[in-house]
Amino acid sequence: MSAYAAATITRSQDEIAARLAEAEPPLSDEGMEISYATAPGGRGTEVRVRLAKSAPGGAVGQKLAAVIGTDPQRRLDDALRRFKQVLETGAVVSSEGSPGGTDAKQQRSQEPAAPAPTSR
Amino acid sequence: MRANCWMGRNTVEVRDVPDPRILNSRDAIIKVTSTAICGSDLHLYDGYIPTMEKGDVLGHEFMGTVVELGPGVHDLAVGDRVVVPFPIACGACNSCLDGLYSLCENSNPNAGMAEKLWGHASAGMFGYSHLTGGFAGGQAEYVRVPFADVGPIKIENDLPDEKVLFLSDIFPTAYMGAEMCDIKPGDVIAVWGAGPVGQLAVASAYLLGAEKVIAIDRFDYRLQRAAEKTGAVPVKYDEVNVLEVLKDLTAGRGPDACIDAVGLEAHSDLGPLQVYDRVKQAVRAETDRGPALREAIIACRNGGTVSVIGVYGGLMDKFPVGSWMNRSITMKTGQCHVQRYTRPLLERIERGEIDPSFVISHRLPLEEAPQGYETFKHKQDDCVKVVLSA
Repeated sequence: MSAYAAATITRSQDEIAARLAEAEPPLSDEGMEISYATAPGGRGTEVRVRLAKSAPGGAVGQKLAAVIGTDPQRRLDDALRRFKQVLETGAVVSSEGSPGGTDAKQQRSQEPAAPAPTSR
Repeated sequence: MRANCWMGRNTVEVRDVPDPRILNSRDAIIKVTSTAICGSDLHLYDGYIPTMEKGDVLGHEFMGTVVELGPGVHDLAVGDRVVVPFPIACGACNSCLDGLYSLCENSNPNAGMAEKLWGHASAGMFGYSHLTGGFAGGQAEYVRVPFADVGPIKIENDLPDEKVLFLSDIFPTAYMGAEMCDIKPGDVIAVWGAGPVGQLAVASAYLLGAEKVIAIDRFDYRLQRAAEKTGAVPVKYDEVNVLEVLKDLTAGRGPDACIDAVGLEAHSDLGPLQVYDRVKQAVRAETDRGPALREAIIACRNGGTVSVIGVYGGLMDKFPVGSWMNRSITMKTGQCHVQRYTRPLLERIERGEIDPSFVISHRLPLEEAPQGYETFKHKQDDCVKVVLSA
């Protein structure tokens, strides 16, 4: 079971490729298939990524990983979203409820949307 | 600091919470001077919007003074007076570049959650559930404003808070609702809901050149206010047949455009359909009641436009798809792209073309927010709009 994700980023292909090192795993992993295309109408660059890697533990392990948000698909979705945020806005976007930013695992156990006393 | 927090269905409490801090270089901390309770806050209060957490700070209509800035914000200074749009927008993604700020592709950290429900996600929003990002809201003494270099609009004159506060949401929302009607000379517009947004939608439709604007509601005091303050033609839906009245007012054509300023908790006096919707909502087979939207579609003239600014969350039954399709009705909708409207609408206020503060009926201190929610929800004491001072 491979993972796949795609995003359109308002940056040039050259810039995206050059800054790929800033991405988080599994997007930054070796063996990541990544392809670029110019988005139509001046919309930037279409980025498509495929990861030929499954969660450990066979079918049961994969199901469990999908439920708790640690399977390669969700991790890849998160990593691509965060990479897009870094390229387009300068940083990973965080809220009081998701202080670590986009994270499928954390989405299941949200902090209240109120300022935290100290860094969580 | 003190903040108004969601503590469960029908329960809000003003509590002590930590002061917000700068988390990102493009953040600002605002000391809130005025904030308002929105009709859409009642959807949270009533428990119709999923993904609320106990302790969430509410509030997405607010303004105040900049007290702290991240190093990445260059066009604001400490001490500036600002109004903050309710959608959080980065200004750099394709949606923002197209002016579709409430669809910002980067500002919602919980976009994955929203995609499961809606297919694609909307922007992050202040104090409006975790589906829209889990951001702490502005019914508080202080609030963190992300992307402070994109959203907040500086108020550089001495206009009082009350005249400019509603640039944060309801005035742009109402104005966009009227703008989506693509009003031409002679057009008759009908607005479902004579609450604060409905009343401002009537005023906006007149600003945009409508010939006649009709307001539909069941509360006398709201209709009366809409008639007095905006020049609306009032229609009380529990006393007349709305469709017949609208046909009469337009000599059979139907309104050229219809605005739904009600949303998912619409009430109907058609007993059986109201019961049907309530039961389906209660067993979670339908999340959104739809009598206002259904009626708006059926009432609209052939080839007309239905503009939806009332908030919906999930699924609705008995959508009159045949009426919509066969009669070439255009539907336009969206959470308001507030950042697109703040400048031109501030200018309209400055020129004296409109003073949106006419909707305010109640002024309370932040500490009395829970009372404000109750009064607003139950439409006690002729409540139209509650403004809280922090």
